[in-house]
Amino acid sequence: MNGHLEQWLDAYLDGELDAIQILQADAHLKNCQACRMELEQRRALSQILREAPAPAAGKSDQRFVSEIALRLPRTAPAIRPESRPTAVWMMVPPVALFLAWAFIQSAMIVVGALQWLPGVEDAVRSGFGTGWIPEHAAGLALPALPAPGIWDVVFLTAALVGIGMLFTGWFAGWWAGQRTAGSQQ
Amino acid sequence: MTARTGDFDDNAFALAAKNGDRDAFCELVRRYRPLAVNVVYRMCGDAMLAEDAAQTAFLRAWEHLGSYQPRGSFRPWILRIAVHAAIDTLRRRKPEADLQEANEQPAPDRVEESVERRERAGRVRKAVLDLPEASRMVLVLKEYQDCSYREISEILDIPIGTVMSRLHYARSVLLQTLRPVAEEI
Repeated sequence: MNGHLEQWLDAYLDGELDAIQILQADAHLKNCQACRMELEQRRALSQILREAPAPAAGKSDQRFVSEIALRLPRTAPAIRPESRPTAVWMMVPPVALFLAWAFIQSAMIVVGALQWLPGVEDAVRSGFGTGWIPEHAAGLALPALPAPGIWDVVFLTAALVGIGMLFTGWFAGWWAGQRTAGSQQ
Repeated sequence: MTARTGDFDDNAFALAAKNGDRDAFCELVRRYRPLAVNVVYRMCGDAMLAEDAAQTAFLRAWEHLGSYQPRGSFRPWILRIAVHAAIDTLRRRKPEADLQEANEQPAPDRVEESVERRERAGRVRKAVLDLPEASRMVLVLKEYQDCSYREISEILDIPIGTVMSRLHYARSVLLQTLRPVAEEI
């Protein structure tokens, strides 16, 4: 242990150190007169503070309790459920998944659509000669992505809409459940 | 959290009160009145104000009983509410040290000793009241309620490291302020 005990001194005094820390503090206190004095001063301070008298009761217990009883609402305390994640946080995982999936699908649709455009394939192939597309990537380029047909696009769009509807349905059900639980309290 | 004597009964009373049993709640008020009054009094130094704030704390406790979970102990739960009532009281009114112990009636042959003791108690109280609110709160919970660091951390919603540093600061300041008092004893 380097230096003085500082905050450890309070924790030592209050019995908040674990066994190993107590051994370390004891070893330090054995050799450090400044910390021993500080410890004694803090112990004395605690004693002085605890000797300070408690407030004298102004009202009798009965009167104190009666006054509170008179001010209590007639109804029982409202039962609150344990804290639940808020609506916003509940939405994060499904929205994130949906966005990720939508991004991937959109990227595929855009790449596929580009292949339909006249001259794009030639333009990309001409890039291999200029050096900005590596030669070894030639085999990986356009041939790997077959041109999508109209049914591919329809299918992808329908899938997106379907997932959107499923999520909206789930969220509406969850929201209705929340409102029902709230109204029962 | 440390289990204390009476926790089982407290939880039984708290559960009954949660279901609208006002008598059970009044029993809890009777049990915890000294604790609640003491916390506010040590924070604001005014016995009358402390009683009023403690009543407010109990009324709030009734309102929040719906969220009480009997897994822990009732004591830190009510302490937390009392602490917040004390903070609200302090915000509404600047602390004024009531240096007179109104209800203390010394015997005639012990008047001198009693006056000395009251003066000393007044100086101690004033020194505590002069501490910054955040450090004072930690000190009050440690010295007057004998809460563990973990309990203080949960009651005030601060990390244990902050509890340690605030307590260390409060005691260091008091050691300086109350040095004359310590030398008198």
